[in-house]
Order: sequence, then C-alpha cells, then structure tokens
Amino acid sequence: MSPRVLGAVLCVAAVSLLSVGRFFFQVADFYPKAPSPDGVTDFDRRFVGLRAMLPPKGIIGYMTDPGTPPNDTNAQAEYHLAQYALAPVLVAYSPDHRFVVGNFHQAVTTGSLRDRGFRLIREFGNGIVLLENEKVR
Amino acid sequence: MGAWLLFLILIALGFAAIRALWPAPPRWSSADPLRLAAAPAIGFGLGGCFYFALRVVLQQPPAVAIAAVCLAAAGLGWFAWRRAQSAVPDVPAVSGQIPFWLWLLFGAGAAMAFFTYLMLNGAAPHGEWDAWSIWNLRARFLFRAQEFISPFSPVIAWSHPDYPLLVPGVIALLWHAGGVESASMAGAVGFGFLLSCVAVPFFTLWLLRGPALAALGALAILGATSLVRVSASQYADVPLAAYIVIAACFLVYALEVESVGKSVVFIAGLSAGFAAWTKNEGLLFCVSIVLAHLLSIAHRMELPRRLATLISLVAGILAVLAFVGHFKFRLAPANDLVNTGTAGVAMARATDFNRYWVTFWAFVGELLTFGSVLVPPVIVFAVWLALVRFRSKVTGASLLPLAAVTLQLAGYFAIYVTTPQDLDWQLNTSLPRLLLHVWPLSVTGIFLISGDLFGGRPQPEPVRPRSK
Repeated sequence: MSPRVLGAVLCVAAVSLLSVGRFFFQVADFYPKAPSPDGVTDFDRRFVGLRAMLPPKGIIGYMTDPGTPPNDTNAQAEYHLAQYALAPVLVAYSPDHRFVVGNFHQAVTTGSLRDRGFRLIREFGNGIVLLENEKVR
Repeated sequence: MGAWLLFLILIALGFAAIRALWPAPPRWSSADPLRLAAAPAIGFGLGGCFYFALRVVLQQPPAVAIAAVCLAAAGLGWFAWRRAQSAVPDVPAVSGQIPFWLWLLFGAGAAMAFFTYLMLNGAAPHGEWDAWSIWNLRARFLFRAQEFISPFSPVIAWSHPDYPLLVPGVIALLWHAGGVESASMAGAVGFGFLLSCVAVPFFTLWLLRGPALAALGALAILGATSLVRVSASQYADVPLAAYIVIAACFLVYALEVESVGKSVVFIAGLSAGFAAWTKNEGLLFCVSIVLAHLLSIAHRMELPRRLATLISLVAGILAVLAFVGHFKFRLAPANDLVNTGTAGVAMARATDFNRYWVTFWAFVGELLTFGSVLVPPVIVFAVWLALVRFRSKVTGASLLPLAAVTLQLAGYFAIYVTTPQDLDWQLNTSLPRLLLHVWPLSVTGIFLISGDLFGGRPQPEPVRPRSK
C-alpha cells in the first residue's frame, strides 16, 4: 500500500472511529445516570386512570397552571405528552370544552376552579384532574 | 412474542420480495448480502402498505392485515424459489485485499455504534420529542382508534397529520401482532432501518468496488454520530435516509451490472416510493432520483439504457405513490408548508435575496459542523479524494448518487427560501436532519468515484441464460 493511500485510509478511518468512539463514551457516561423509568414512561403512567375513564373517541380540553406563557416549551411538551398518553381521544389545548383535563404543578383549590366555572369530576393524583366546564354544557 | 415473530416475517417478506424480483440460484449467492441488507426496510415498507390498505382504508380487523403479510411472505417466498431454479448466478463481488487492521477498525466502530443505539434506546424507549408528538403518537392512534378520522384531525395540527404513515403503520401492525404497545418494538423497527442504512452501502460498495472501500465507506457513514442519535430518537429521518440510499444503490448496481435486468431498477423505484410514504421529503426524492437517472450520463451511449430502464423506475415509484396519493387526497389535511399563504406571497419570498443569503450560510455552517464528526466531513472527503484521486473510468452510473444528492439539496434549498414558517426557526430545527437524509448516499457516491485502494479487480460476469 502506498503512503498516499495509507494516509487517505487513516484519515477517514481515524476521524470516523474517533467520532463514533467519542459519542459512545459520552453516552456510556450518561446512561447509568439516566432516570429510570424515563420521563415519558413516568408521565404516561400519571394518565392511566384518566385514560380508562375516557370514551374511545371524542375531544377533551386541556389546561395547566394559570399564568403559564403559551409558548413555554415545557408546557408544550407536557401538552404533547398528554395527547400521547390519552390517544385516541383528541386533546385540545383549550378549556373551552365540556370536559377538560387539568395538569397542574401548583396547588389549585376546588373553590378557585369553581370560581372559574369548572367542577371537579375526579382527581387522579400527581396534579392530574378531570374537570367539567359548566359554561360549555 | 407475536410482535417479534411478525418482525422476522416482515424481514423475510422483504428478502422474498427482492429475490422474487431479482432472482438468484437457490443456494446463498454473492449478492444475497445486499438483498438481506435491504430486506428490513423493504419488508417494513410492504408491511406498512398492507396495513394502510387493509386496516385504514378498508377498515378490516388487524388480524386480516397480519394474515395478509404472512401470506404475502409465503407466496413471494414460493415464487422466489420457483424463479431461483432457473436463475443466473449473481456477478461475483469485486475481489481485493483488505488489511486486517481495517476490519478491526470497522468492527470496533460498528460495535460502538450498536451499543450506543442500545443505550440511547434504553434511556428513552419512547424516543425524543418528534417521536412521541408525531410518529409514535400516530402509531398509538392507529393501534387504539376504532375509526380513522381522529388521527388526522386539525385539532392536533401541531402533530402534522399530513405526514405519511409508513413508520406509524408498521409499528401499529407489530403492536397488533403482540397485542400490546411495546416501546421496544418501535426501537427494533428503528434499528432495522439503521441497519439497512449502513449495510446497503456497505454491500453495494463491496460488490462494485471491493471490501476495502466498503468497510471504509460504512465506517465513514457511522462517523456522523447524529445518524445513530436520530435513529434512536425514533424520528422518521433515518428510515427516509435508508430508502434514499437503497433506491440509489440498487439503481447504480442495475446500471453497472447490466445482466441483472430491469427488475432491480423496479426495486429501486419501490424504495424511492417508500421514501415518499415515509416523509414528505421523499416526494422530492422521487423527482430527484428520476432526474439523476436521466442526467448522470458520462457518454451519449448510456442514454438508450437509461431511457429503457426509466419505465421500471417510474413504475416502482408509482406503485407506492398510489398509497401516498390516497392518503393525501382522501385522509390527510393539507401540508403546512403549502397551505399557508398565496402564490403571490410565495413569489415574494422567492424574490427576497436575503432569504437566499440566510439559507446559503445556514447550509455552509451545517456542512462544516454536520453530524458531530470531529473534522468537518467536507474537509475529510476533500483530503480523501486528493489522496486516492478519482477512478480511472468514472461511469455515469457512479455519478448518479451525487447527482441525486445535489438535486435533493437544491430542492431543500428552494423549500427553505419559500417556506411560510419563520426561516431561522425552520433552518435551526430541521436542516441537520435534512442533511442526514442524504448523508449515507453522499458517502456512497464519493466512494463509488474514488480510486481503487488495493487493486480491486472486477470479476467476469457469468455467461448463463437469463432467468425466465
């Protein structure tokens, strides 16, 4: 093998192998510290009880903590995950539906919900509630 | 258990379909590794089409779709066996020396990539954001729904209900076979596509250019670590990259090894069609590969063969586009990129020079940082080609992959320029993944035109009657 060809082979092989190796060790370092179960599985489990109550199709509203900005990335992610958990029921990011899923991180009292026109149907723990919007009956 | 069994049946279906169209003698044949490498992606593609036609369109019970896949695998297997009895042996692979240390380097790279995939999949079995907000979400809808209107509702427009259904369809099919939604099944499908994405270029290069360029090419493909990361994220970008590289590799093989016949070109067309059934960008690839097929001609004498094989290529594409068309016109809402704004607004964007400038520099920047490769791939391959130089005889067929890549990137560039979305946001969130679509094919194209490393010699084609 000529030095020119050897140089070319080593150039491609070394850069590729070092890239693969660096990523492998980064992931190997992170993997033992990864949460178990993972975040999506954990989030999914919070909705198991609610999902069992829902019909096989329809639209349900969704609301989260008051004052959450509409473009908040975490809130968006949790809404998408709520849809992932509750499919095939459609989850609309709006409280203007008769039945509404509440996904709260801050304490919310039944009274404050009633003041906003929502009746608590059932609480599932971990901040997940099913509400009825009394204005949309 | 049922899901894993159907997973294996789908791979068998892919292998049987390829062997039925591209027959070889019953015993293990020299091009069988290439057939087997493409089998997972082709099998998943066929399975996804069966599922869509029987479950979504005809609303049959899932068991009917599963039974149809099993019957198709058995039927195609029997047909492949019949054709094998009178088939011409495959053209032997190009022989060539390869130092043992190069095998070791390739083996180490492949093993690390494999374990990286396993760890990433173990840490996030449902995949990353686009997986649970688009692809696996759609699979859940298909698996859980009693009807097929909700999955495409505008209420969840953010989940892009117009995106094609190959990947969600095959995952839902496997879930039905197992009776449960198993995240590991989605991970296994992702790994099948990743395997095809690397193994198809590897065996194509081995058959056409010898083992040294094959091992180095596959290692270079794995060198872009975003391939493994995005694959483990369960996005549809790696399945799309797999179909793109399979289509072009089979087409190049059919053009360089003339004895294989037009049915290999048909398989290339099917794969391009599956690309369109995987992501909307695949529709652009169908155009890119047809144009590349017609344009990448080194001599005027190649033109008649290109025209003669064009019908097979287009027939393969149209066979799958029938499913895409039914979905797009009967079930899916309009795409957000084409549904927003009028022709006048699009024209205004197309004549805004600043958008070209921003898009151009985004492409340049991404090309320099692509794939988390330690050294920009553009520099690595410039050095590579400077040292090994081009082949003494570069055929039009060997230029086809790079022509297809160029056309695909030109299409992406035009879409960015005219996108109704915020341009910076669109570039930042999608450009790395869009370049990943053509990465395996780009590497294959570069290695196809590279000079021989260790004096690889093509084997003589066998002189035997053509198969019936």
